[in-house]
Amino acid sequence: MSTFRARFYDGVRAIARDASVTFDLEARRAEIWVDGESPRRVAFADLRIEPPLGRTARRVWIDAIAHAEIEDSAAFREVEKIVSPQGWMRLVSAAEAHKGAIAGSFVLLILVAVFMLRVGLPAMARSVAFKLPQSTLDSVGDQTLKSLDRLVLKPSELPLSRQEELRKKFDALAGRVPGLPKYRIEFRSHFGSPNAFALPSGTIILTDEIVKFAKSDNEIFAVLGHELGHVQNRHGMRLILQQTGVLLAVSFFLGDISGSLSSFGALPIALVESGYSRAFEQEADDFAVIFCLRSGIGTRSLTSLFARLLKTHPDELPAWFSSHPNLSARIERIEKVRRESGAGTN
Amino acid sequence: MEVSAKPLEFRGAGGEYFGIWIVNLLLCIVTLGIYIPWARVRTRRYFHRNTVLDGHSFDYVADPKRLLIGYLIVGAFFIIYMVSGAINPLLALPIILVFWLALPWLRYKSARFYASNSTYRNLRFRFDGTLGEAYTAYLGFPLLAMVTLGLLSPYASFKGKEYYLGHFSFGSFHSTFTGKPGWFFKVLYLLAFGGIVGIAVVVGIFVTVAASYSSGAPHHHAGHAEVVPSVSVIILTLAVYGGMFLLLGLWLVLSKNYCWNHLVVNPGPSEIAFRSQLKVGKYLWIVLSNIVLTVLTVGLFAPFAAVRLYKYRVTSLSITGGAALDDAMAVISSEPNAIGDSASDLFDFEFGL
Repeated sequence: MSTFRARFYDGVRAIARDASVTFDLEARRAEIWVDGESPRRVAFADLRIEPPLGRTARRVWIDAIAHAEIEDSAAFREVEKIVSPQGWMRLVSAAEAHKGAIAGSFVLLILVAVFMLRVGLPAMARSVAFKLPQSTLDSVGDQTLKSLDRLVLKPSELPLSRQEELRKKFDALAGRVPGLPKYRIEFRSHFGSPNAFALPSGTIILTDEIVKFAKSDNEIFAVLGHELGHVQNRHGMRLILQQTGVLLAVSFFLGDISGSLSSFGALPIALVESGYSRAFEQEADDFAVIFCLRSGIGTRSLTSLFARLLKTHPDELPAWFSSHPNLSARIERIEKVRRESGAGTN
Repeated sequence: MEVSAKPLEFRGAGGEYFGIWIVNLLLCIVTLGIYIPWARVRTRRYFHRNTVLDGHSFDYVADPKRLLIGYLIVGAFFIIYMVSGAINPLLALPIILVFWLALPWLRYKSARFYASNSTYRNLRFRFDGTLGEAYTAYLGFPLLAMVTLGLLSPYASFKGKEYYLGHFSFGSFHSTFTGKPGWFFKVLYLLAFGGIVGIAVVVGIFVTVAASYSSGAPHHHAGHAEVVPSVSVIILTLAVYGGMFLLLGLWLVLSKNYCWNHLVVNPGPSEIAFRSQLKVGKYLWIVLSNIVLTVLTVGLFAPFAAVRLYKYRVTSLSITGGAALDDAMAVISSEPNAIGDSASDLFDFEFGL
C-alpha cells in the first residue's frame, strides 16, 4: 500500500484538484481520492502510467480523459514497476536518462555516420547513377557546363582549326577502342591551370593550359582516355548524388530542409572544386591504361605527362591528407597496371 | 479579478534534453526513419510539458502512429521532389506547383492537428478556421501580392496571421487577432527598403574591389589568380547571408512580438491578453551562436541550442487575465488527421507562434 499526493485533472474543467492516489499492491487496484468526492477505484490493468520524460510530473490516466499528476520519485518508480511493467517505450525512456545508454548512443551514432559516409552513400549513389537514363545524364551535364561557364570557365583562346584537329584525331583513335561511352570534347580556359574534367553527360572539358602543357597530342589523348574513364564509371553523377545525400542528411539533423533546397545550384561547382576521391581517380587511371594500349598510343604518354605535372605542380599536400592520390603514386600504379595487362614495352 | 501579468516558465534543461535527443536520433536512424514520428512526439511532449503557466504544464498528446502515415506520404513526395530537382529543376516544377496548391490545405490540416493534440490543464486546444478561409489567406492573397509585384504582400502576411491566430480556442474561449494591416505595411516596407539599400551597398563595394583587382598586376601565379575570385565570392556570399539573416531575424522578432501582443482570448470583461518581449539583439545572438556552436560540435550542441532558443521565446511571454482560464470547459470535437502536421514538420513551416 503506497499513497502519493496528486493533482487531478478531469479533462472536462480546466482546474486541478488536490487528490491522493493509493496503490493497493495486493488487490492490484488504485484508489483516487479527489477532495470532497467519493473515491474512484481503478484496477491496475485499466490504469495507464506514462513512462518518465525528463523530470516532468508523472501522468496516471484513470480512463480515456481524466488523469492524475504525481511528482516523480524513487518510491513512485518502485510502484510503477508493479503496476505497468511492460512496454518498449519504457525502455526508451530509461535509456534517455541512463549515462551509459547515452554514451553508447553517441558512439553508435558516430559509427553509423562514418559507415554511411564511407560505404552506404557511395554504394547507393553508384546503383542510382547506373540506373539513370542517358537523357538524365545529358541534362545534368548541360546544366553543369552552363553554371561552370557562368562562374569559373572562360572561352578557349585556341584557334578553332586546332580544336577541330584534336577532335578529329581523337575520334580516329577512339574508333579503334570498342565499347567507349558517348563523349564530346569542349575547350575552355580555367585560370591558368592545366586541367581536364568530365561531366556526367560525357562532355569532356580540356583547358587551354593543358593543351599547351602537353608535349605531344598523344599526351592530350591519354588525358582524354582518363576522363573517358570517369564518364564510363559515371563518377560525376555519383559525386553529385553523394553530395546531395550528405547535404540532405546534414540538413535533416540540423532541422532545416528548406535551407538545403536553395543550395542545389552550388552542387555542380563542388564537382570541379572538390575533385574526385582516390578510388575514382584510380578507376579512371585503369581505364586510361587500357585505352592507351588498345588505341596504340601507349601508356608512356600518360606517365610522361603526369611526371611533368609532378615537376611543375608538385602536390601541395601528402596523399594521406588529401583525398586525391598523389601523382607519383599514380604513375607507379599505372606502370603496374600496364605490366599486369601483359602489354610489352611502350 | 486578477490583472497582474503571469510569465510563462520553462523547466527543461539542455543536458536533460541531450539524452532524449541522442537516444531518439539513434532510434530514427536504426529504424531507417520509421521511428521519426515517435521521436517527434516525444520531443514536442518534452517541450510542452516543461512549459508551465500558473503552475500547470502544457502537454502534447498526438498518437505517433497517425503521424507515421502522414510522414510516409509526405516523405515519398519529398524524395520525388529532391531527386527530380537534382536531375533537372524543370522536372521539379510541376511538383512545386502541386505542393503550392496543396499548401493551404496542409497548413489547415496542420493547424487543426497541432491544436487538438496540444493540451493545457488536460483540455485540448482547437483550431476552427475553415478550409475555404485557408485558401483565401494562404493562396488568394499571396496570388494578389504576386500580381501587384509584392506591393500587397504585407496585406497577404496580415491575412495569414489573422486566419491562423484568430481561430484557436481553448474550451469555450476563442482567440481573436486584433492586429492591423497598417503595421505589416509599415514594417515590411521598411525592411524591404533596408534590404535594397544593403544590396546596393554590397554590390557597390564588390564592383569597386573587383575593378581594383582586375587593373592590378598582370602576372599572377597560377594559384593566386584562382584565389582572388573565390575569396571575393565568399565575402559576397557572407555579406548577402548576413544581411538576409539580419532582416529575417528582425521580421521574426518584431512580428512575433506584435502578433502575441495583439492576440486576445475570450474578448470582453474577463479577456486574456499576452505580452511578448523578445529583444532583437538577444534573439539574433542566440540564433547565431547556436548555429556556430552546432557546427563546431558537429551537431552535438543542437539539443542545447533548441532548449536555449525555446526557453528564451517562452520566458519572454507573459499572460494577463489568466484567472479566467479556470472557467474553461471542454468541448467535444472529432480529431483531425495528421498528414498536415507531418508536412509542416518536414517543410518547416513558420506559423509565427
